[in-house]
Amino acid sequence: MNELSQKVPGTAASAESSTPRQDFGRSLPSEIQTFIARPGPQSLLVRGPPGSGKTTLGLALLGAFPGRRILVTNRVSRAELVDDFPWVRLGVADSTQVIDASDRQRGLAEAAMAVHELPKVFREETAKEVSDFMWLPEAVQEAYSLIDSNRPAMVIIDSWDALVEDFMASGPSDHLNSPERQDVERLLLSFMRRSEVTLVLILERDVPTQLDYLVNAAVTTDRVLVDGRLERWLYLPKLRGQRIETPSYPFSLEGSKFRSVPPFRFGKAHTEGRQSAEIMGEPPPEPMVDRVWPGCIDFAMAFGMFEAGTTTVLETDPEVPNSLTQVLVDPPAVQTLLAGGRVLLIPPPGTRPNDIYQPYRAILSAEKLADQLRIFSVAGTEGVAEEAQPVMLPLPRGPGFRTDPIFHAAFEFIRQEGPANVPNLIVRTTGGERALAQVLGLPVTPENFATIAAAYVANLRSHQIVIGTIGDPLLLSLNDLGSIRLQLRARQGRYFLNGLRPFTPSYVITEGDQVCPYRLMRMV
Amino acid sequence: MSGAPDHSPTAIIVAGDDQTRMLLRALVQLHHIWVEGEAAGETYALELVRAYSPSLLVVDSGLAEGSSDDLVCRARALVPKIRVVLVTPGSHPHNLPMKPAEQPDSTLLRPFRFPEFVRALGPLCD
Repeated sequence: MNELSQKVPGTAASAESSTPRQDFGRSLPSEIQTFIARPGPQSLLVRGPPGSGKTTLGLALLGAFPGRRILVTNRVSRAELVDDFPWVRLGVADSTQVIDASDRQRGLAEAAMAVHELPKVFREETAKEVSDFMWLPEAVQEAYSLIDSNRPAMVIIDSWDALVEDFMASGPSDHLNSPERQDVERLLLSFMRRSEVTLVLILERDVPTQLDYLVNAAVTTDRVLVDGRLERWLYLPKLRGQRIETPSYPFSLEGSKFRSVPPFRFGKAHTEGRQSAEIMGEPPPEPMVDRVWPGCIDFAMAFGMFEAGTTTVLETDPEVPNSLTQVLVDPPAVQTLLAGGRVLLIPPPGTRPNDIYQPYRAILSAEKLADQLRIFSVAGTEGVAEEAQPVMLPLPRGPGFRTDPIFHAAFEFIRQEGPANVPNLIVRTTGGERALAQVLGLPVTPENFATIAAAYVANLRSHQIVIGTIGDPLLLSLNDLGSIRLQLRARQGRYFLNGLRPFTPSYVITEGDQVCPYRLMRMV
Repeated sequence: MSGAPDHSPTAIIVAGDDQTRMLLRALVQLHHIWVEGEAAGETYALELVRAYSPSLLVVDSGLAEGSSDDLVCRARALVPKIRVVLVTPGSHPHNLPMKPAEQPDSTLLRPFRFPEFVRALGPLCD
């Protein structure tokens, strides 16, 4: 698969080596982008269990922040930071001040002793100010010293729990003036609010504290296993003064980079009458031999290509709209047509054949489509433009009609081979076939469905994609047949494409670009 | 630590007493000045001055080793543009060296107030 990325410029993999600064901002949820663009003082909590992506999120926040950037860390040294997050070298490390808090020695006990001596050095009102400052952990004092009072700054403390607990651990609990943790936290916020500082506190404890009420915003990160696949989610429980459009975001840490996924928005091709050529997808990196190019490098790298003589089964969540499966299916269909192969489509009921035909027509001539494309739908040829009539397989009508000729026509069409080594493509929906069977008075059972499916790929040089809802008995009947078996699930406005065979990590479908109508982001 | 950003002021704190040193350090940090290091005596303080060429040297007159007069003088020789603030006990005004170049820029008598320290910082506290 790596070969593929080398052959197709502009793919996710080939873009790894150059990450422009603006990517840091774009990778964050829009609500967080807005938050860090607001003038300080601001304060943000990032809370989540170990390994849920808090540090990487923190680095993404730093990367997106336009002012002075200060990272207080007791987790990684500067060298480790650059090793673990190689992209940091490009955008963050050069201009970020890193304070390694792990080697700081002074704790609350030392601070208490110094405070005891205050009157010898400072007069009363000054002594109070210095005293308050002394109750901050040493690394926080250092971070404060780096703030330029004339310039916005972001200070990230990773992790605040560890830092403050280390600091408090040395403290004399019986000291009269010795502060409690919540006092230290109030002082921290109080000092940081004196300047235009965006303070980010990364927490490991999962218990809400007074900090949750004191800060302007809170973010939680989580990692969960869904059907054995890792998913990471970011939640926005609090953004004071800001409307939260999307309260949750899945995100990926691939390449040690934080990338969140906004809700999927369909491109023009799939929302405005499907008139556009956006459905074409990416061209193949090289001529395909006995394979159908999926029309998307991300798909090919995740799941492989569509081999002739095999079947791909796509199970979809009932919440997945038909238009999304079209987003996935249109590119390989168009690529097959462009290569000279034939395409037979059995769309779901309720789909107007003309809406399927027109986008293809924007790319290919009416003559070519009449030769290479067939649409077999219960909608028949009603409302179809005259030039598109040859593409539609007409339903038999009237008393005494026979069903054999129509299936014969479909089979004969797809049996015809195109240029050498270019397989045909069959896209069947179980819903479409059930609707056809009902109209034609034919039984559709798992047994005959599987038999027909096997016949399509056994005797023809074609690849077959069968689409239905999860748990559909017709799809289950293809268990032994599907060489690729995918599952498409909807969750909180996002669509996850998972490989059941072969087993793959979870992929989130993201908005496409000028090259491809969709992209896949691997959840790692 | 990577040190302060370019063109930001930096400081060395010198005091023989641990608590005094901590307090002076906090005072400097409160004014957004990065502290490169601390020393209890003259010898190590000069090493730090040599290594970091700080823009500010805050010296308490009570050192664990050496003398604050010598330190001021030799630090100036190492970093001519360094700003030197000397902190002395209020009941024992410090005897300043005769040569102006060897004098601290400011002398603060303990206990002192914030505004006095701000004045002592001069152009470093803009």
